[in-house]
Amino acid sequence: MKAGRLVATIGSVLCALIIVTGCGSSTPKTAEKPKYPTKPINIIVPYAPGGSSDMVARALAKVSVKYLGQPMVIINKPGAAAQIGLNELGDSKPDGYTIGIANSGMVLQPLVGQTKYNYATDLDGVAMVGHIPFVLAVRTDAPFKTIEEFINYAKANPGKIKYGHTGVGNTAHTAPEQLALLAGVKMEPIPYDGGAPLITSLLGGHIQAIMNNPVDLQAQVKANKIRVLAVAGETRIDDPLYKDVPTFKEKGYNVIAILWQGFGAPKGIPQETLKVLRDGFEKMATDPETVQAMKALGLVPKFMNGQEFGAYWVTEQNSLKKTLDETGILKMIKEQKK
Amino acid sequence: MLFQGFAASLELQNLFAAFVGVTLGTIAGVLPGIGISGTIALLLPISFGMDTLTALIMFSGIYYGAMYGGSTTSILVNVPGEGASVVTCLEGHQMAKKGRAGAALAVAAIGSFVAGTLGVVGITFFAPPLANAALAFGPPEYFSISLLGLVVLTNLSGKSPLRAFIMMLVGLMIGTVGIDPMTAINRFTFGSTQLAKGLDFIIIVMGLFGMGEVIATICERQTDIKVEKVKFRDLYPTITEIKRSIMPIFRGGFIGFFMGLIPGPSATISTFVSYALEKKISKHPEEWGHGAIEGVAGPESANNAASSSQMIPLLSLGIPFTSSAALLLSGFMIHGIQPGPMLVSSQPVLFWGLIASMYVGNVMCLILNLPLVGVFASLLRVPLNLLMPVVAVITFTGAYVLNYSLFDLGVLFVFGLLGYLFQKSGFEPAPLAIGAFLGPQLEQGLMQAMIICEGSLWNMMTRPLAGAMLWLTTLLVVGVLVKTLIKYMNSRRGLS
Amino acid sequence: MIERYLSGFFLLLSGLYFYFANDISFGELAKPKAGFLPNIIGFLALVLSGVNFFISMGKKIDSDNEGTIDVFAAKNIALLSVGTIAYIVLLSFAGYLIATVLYLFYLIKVTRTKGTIKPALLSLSVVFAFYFCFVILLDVALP
Repeated sequence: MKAGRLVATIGSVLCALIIVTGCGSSTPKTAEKPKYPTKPINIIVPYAPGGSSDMVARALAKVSVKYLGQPMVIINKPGAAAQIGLNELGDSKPDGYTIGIANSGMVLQPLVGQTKYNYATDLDGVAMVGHIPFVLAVRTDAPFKTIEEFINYAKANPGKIKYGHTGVGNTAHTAPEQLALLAGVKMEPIPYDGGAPLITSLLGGHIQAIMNNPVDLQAQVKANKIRVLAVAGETRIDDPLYKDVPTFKEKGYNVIAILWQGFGAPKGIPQETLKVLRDGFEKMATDPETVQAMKALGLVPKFMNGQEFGAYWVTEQNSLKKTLDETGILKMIKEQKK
Repeated sequence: MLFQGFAASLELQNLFAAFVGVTLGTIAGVLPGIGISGTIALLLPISFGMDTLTALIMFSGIYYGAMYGGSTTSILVNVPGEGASVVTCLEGHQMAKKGRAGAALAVAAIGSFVAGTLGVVGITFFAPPLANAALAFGPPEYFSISLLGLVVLTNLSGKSPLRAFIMMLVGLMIGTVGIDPMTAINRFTFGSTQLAKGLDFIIIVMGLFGMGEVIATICERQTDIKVEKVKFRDLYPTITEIKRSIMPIFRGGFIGFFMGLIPGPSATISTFVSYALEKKISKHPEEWGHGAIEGVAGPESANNAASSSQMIPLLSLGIPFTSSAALLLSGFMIHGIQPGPMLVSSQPVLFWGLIASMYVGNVMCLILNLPLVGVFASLLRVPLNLLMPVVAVITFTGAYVLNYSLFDLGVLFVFGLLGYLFQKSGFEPAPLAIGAFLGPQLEQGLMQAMIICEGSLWNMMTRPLAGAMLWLTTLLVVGVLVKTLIKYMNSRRGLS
Repeated sequence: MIERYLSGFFLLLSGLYFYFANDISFGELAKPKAGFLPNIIGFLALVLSGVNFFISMGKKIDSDNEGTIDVFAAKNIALLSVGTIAYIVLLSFAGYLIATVLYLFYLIKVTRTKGTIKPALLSLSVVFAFYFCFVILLDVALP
């Protein structure tokens, strides 16, 4: 009798143990927090609707339901060279429901003015989705048909070549200045309000050269109105239209000017949320539909994960600072105030 | 070629797309603040799945549907929905106050239709050569046009030229607040990021004209006046009014079409120019400022024609001259179409289909808008004490939607107060608006032109286009000074 | 009355503007800097508004062609300003729907409309209509 009772007790304790462990492994599931994301995610685009960054965001947002389970809402907050939108991003709650566009333009403002945050170090990277190297373009009927002829002309006529750019300190400005520095020539910069007036002015012969995004120039190159002399990238462009265009590096001038597009988030998002976000973006950015849309918008689709992206910002900012110093642009900006 | 295009555009799904586009565009135009850009941007993702031509037709529909709708709020409640509708406020709203709102709206719609259609005809036949002509305009030309525009248009208001000039200068000053795009430094921002954004022109005019009117009405006991019932006949224009509008419509359309080829917000400028022209040659000068119908017919036609011709650089060169055109360009590119010199030859059906749909779209706009004239005009029968608060709310909402900024709402209100004060004291708000609008363009053109011409004014004066305009400007300024001097001398002589 | 105040206001404004514009460097003709145009227009504005100020001070006070703000108008302006400031602040706290309904109701009362129910109904319906148009139809974000 005692043995029977002992067996029964042990048996029931064993059963209880099994049941408890069984329940134990299932209670985490029922007591689990709701999985992120549970509501739509906001993307702050610091530019007006229709711009290339805005379109990239919309292209990605289109597939977000597939990969993250929630739609994305685009909020445009243009102004002050993207500062307004970026500041708002920095200010926002790091809960993973507010992210924003991070592109090559954002590392500039903290270097030349007093901005609320240093965007390169005060934000976390989510993903880079694409990039494109800039090219040097001139009119087809210009007296220089190759990059060598261009440099020689510039050497022989200092200050005669007027090139346009889309904003002081922008890639379109720093790249030609880098070239000028390395080639030992003098060119006059003329600021423009955007890509469209820039290209128009070049076509009309009011300026002699520009450095710009090659996709914006596609139509004109195809129509043989504009000639591309060189590419400011590590390698030549894949597109058959530009396969004969040498890189600056090939010709001995180390001019690298790349426009990159991606997304960033305020610092402090909890690690698991950030991981879900980053993984989701990786899938969204490599989705064939998105890739096609980005190509149509002029980007070479290229994914970089969030952590690398964040580190990339810092290196980019440092090299930009170096360029601004070397080319004297920084000095020029400071001189604007007496 | 064109007939093939018509055949394509009249397909059922394309007709439907055009209708949707035009309707959305009109709604977007009527609601102040939310503009073409916002609407197109919203619909772009949806359009990914559509057939290319269908999507493009829808976008173009939105584009000029908005042009039709923008005048509605300007006339009814003095709130300009966008830059191109500001001038319509001047005469259109005055007409509304006199009970002629329906007439104004109808004339605006008809004028827009005629001019828009003429514009499309222009595109059909003259696109490539015109596009190339547009290229001849460089920064020195932009500067000269802006300067000429400022001088000409500051004389818009009859009263004191001195005051008008001051208002214009104030407008210019406002235009310089913010990050200078040329040199990337902050000007007059006193460390505020909000100010670094600059003061948006649309917010300023919505405040000056729209809020100003609201405040004026509320503060002047006008809300206690009962509005009389308006007869149906009054809802549509009389024969005289129509007759008087015909020539302004053609003139406005002509002006608008050519100005649309110039980069920048040319639609708005063309409305100012048309207004000034009509005023100068008007046979009823005393009516101006109190509801002259030519002041609605001309500018409205101008802005529709301009929006048509803005398509020319877009389609023939692949270069967008305004932000809404840029959106259209994005729309094209997403669908894999590269507008440019090769478009006509590589995608004839697309090109001509689009053009044909613009004709169709214009007709649709007219059909849509004319009956609505009656509806809208009768909105004014709502007693002012209820209407004005609603207008205020519309204005605030629209302003917020523009930039999602609460700061803007504050700016709106401040300018509303200023607009009210100006109204009461003989300082005209229009020159200020013009100054704020042209200021950035003027400055940019000046800076660029100075570098291009290497600092020499003479260099600029000897360029064919820029030079002609600069000489004209100089003559005008001298002329005004001489006239003022003569008047002063005469009044002196009269006294003694 | 207002004329003089405004003239004085413009004079002051031009003066301040010109003063600040002086801080920004002028540049040379061939290479104008950011201060080029601001200095020019500031100077012009200062001169012209000075002239205007003297002219308007010299004019007789004629109640016919001069505008004044009587107490009625001033009271309304004050009411409006307070209400609007409250509205803008409320927008960021309570969101569009609530803030706008309250503001609209407030405005209708400011225009001396009688009754409470009709204005309240009107406010609610109008604001909901807008909300519908903007947020649901057009997919725009309101606070």
